[in-house]
Amino acid sequence: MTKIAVRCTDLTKNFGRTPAVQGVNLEVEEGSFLALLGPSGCGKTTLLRLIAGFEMPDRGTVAVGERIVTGHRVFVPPEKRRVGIVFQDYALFTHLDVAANIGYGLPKGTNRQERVQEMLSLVGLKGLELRMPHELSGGEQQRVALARALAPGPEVLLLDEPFSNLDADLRARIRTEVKGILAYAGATVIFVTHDQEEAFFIGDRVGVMNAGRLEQIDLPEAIFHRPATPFVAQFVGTADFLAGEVQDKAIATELGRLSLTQELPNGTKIKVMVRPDFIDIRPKADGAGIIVERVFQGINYLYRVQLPSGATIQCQQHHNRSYSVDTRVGIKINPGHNPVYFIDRVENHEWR
Amino acid sequence: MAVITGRTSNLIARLGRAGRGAHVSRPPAIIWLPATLVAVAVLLPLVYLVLRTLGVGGEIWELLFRARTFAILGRTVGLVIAVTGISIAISLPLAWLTARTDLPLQRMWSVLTVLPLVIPSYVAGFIVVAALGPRGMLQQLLAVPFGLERLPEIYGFPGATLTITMVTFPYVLITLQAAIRGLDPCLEEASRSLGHGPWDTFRRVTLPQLRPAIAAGALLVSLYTLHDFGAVSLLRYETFTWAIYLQYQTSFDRTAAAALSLILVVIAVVILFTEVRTRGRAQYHRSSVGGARPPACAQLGRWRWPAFGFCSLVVLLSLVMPMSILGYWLGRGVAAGEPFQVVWSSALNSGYVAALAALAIVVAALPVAILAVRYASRISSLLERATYIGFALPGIVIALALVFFGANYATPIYQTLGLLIFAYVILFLPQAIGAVRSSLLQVSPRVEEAARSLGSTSWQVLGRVTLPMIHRGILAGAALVFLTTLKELPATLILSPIGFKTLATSIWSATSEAFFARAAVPALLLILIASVPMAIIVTRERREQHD
Repeated sequence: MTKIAVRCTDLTKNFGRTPAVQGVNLEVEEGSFLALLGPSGCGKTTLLRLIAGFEMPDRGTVAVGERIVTGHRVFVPPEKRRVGIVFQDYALFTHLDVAANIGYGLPKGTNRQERVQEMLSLVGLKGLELRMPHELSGGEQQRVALARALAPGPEVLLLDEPFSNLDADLRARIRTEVKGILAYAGATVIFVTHDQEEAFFIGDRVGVMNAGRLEQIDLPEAIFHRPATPFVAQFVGTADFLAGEVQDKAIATELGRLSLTQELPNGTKIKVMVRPDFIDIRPKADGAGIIVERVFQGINYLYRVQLPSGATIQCQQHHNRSYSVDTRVGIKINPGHNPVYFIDRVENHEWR
Repeated sequence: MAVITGRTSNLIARLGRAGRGAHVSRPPAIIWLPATLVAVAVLLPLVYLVLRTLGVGGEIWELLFRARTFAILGRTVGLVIAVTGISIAISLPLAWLTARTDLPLQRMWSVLTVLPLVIPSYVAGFIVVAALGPRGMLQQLLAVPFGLERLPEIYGFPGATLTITMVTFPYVLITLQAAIRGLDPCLEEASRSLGHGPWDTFRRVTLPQLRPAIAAGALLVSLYTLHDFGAVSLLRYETFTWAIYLQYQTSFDRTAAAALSLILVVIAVVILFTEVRTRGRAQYHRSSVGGARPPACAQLGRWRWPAFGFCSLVVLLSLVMPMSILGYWLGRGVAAGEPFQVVWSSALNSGYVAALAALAIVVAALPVAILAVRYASRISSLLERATYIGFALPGIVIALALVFFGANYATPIYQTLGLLIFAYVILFLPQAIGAVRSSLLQVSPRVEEAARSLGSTSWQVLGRVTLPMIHRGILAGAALVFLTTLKELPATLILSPIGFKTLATSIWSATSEAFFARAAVPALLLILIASVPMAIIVTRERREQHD
């Protein structure tokens, strides 16, 4: 069995009356990458800071490896946690050169220089050791920050939106590099981002946060195809919801009957997730839908189709299927998608 | 209080990033012509001083290398080091306590600890003499119960150090407070996550990050100490300024005074360059782009009240004690029937020249600052640097140079207010340029370009866009110049037209003859008037912090 590098239990933190992190439970296996995904203000950075020991939680525990570092009457200060962090703006020590930055966390004496050199070659910055931080490009600063955090061999490395300060074209390249470096170093990583593509790229597993809660933590594919909550469904990828009702072990919707994977009493209100590639449209004079918007996306057109009930759903079609607005269309559900649905409880109305 | 310290941060800013958002085009004549005139004019006294000294020939070296010169040099450097060191030692904990901890009444302390800046050094000097001198208030207080006949000697080094530290430490405090507030908390957190505890982090990350601020504050304090004339003469500590004054008063040969002045200028230049050198290769700036979380507020715990006591002690010694002593002498003065009419006319004169100086200096500063910020080039930065000569030239030196110059070559303006105002311009121009410059840097050149694209000429842009946008910076610069002009002593003393008395000269003539009761009224009045520009500066600073 693989070892758990970080375990958070019921972690809760409020800033005054604002709840920042609420009852978060999570485990990260040694050597694996967890991406924490969520909109800004969802508490993901606070969660990271709780793990690093920069914030004291109101409740809950944090364990790094076997050791409880935050818990009942236990609070290990950040410098004793062996938790590395790379900040959004890198926070390089501007008064120290590259080598001194990387060597900062290493104990004096014992092959410190060797380790610095080792880290420099790991991040591909050999020869730049005497530069000052402001003499480096954004990507180089990023790699120094990474090398500095990795040098003392932390048990877990936290990255707080590390690519958000980079230009879009640089971003894709650096992100690949960083992933390679981290994998090579065998690091355990918790990575915070608001960018779904980045989360899927880096994370072995992805945790989606909303309003302080960890709504789902799973493989990227599962997050996308089997979202646990309507919020996850909408935040990760595009999703519309179709109202339905349970009738005779199936869901009756405007678009026909969909299979139900669990026993539910008749009359239960259901919301069915519809992604733009779930349905297909064809012009049809007596079709149920009518195109109300079309967006050219290059390879595809994204149509918004209004249903008889007035609800609209989005539908993605290949660019050779060009239909104008106001075209009446027939709607067909593509085979091969298991319908994802949520029971439409009143409590479930947090989402739009 | 970026305004007060703006002049050094300005020096810092000039290194490295030359003219952010500079125009490519050449500056219009309306900008570069006055800027050049100002730069040339302020260099005049220095040129005169050098020529005058060199003109003497070989005997100048004899004059310079006397044992007495070295004694003066030793005393001056000793005083500068002591005052600067103590100021840093007081300010570092004060700044940290007021900016980063849960100290009770934090706001109040951060205002009160800055207020001693309104007390001129010669007023502080007479307060120290009156309180701690032989037959002073403390001795008389202790004489009855303890039969104390003598206190430890206050004249000389200890008194001068105490006096000048009392009124200059806020310079370090202000720069440090700003630097501590601007510190990126992520740096400290990064250090903690890399295995260094709080104390280690302070020593290895926080302190080095604060080093430029400490150096900038220390620069202001050491130059102030070097240039101070009032306190050292009242406390009879012979540094260069006092020696120059004595030389000027007692002998007809002005060459010795000129030679001593040159040494003083050289020391000032050395200090200026040391400050630049301490910065090294590092570049200090907050790396995050706004929105960073505020730094953690340290819980003082059981140190809360000792810290409170420390702040109270500093405020007691630097503010409450001086003001109460002044109040006491005011009472005695009133009881003794000191005449007040003279004081009112002095106050009017003081306000009048200070206002004139503020106006003249701001007008002179505008073209120089605009040229340096908007049309950065080698020449414009050279011009700007030339105007910083006031930094290196003590008031007494400028005054003497202008006296020689005026008496010999420009008799029509000799003994006029014009010459006095000109001296103020040379002395305080850097302060105004600093304030204008830093507010100009906050106006994006894109805004001016937008105005141009909407059909305004560069002249109209200046009047309708740039000046309105920086009017607060201009006001703050004017307030600062008004404040310093009001307090200025040696230039006022030497260059005032005969019979023209200001508060500063009234205080001086009363205290140098130990008529403390007579000095108390103008001193209190001066502090009162000085509080007005101080309040403008403080409120502006508050507003900026909250924006």
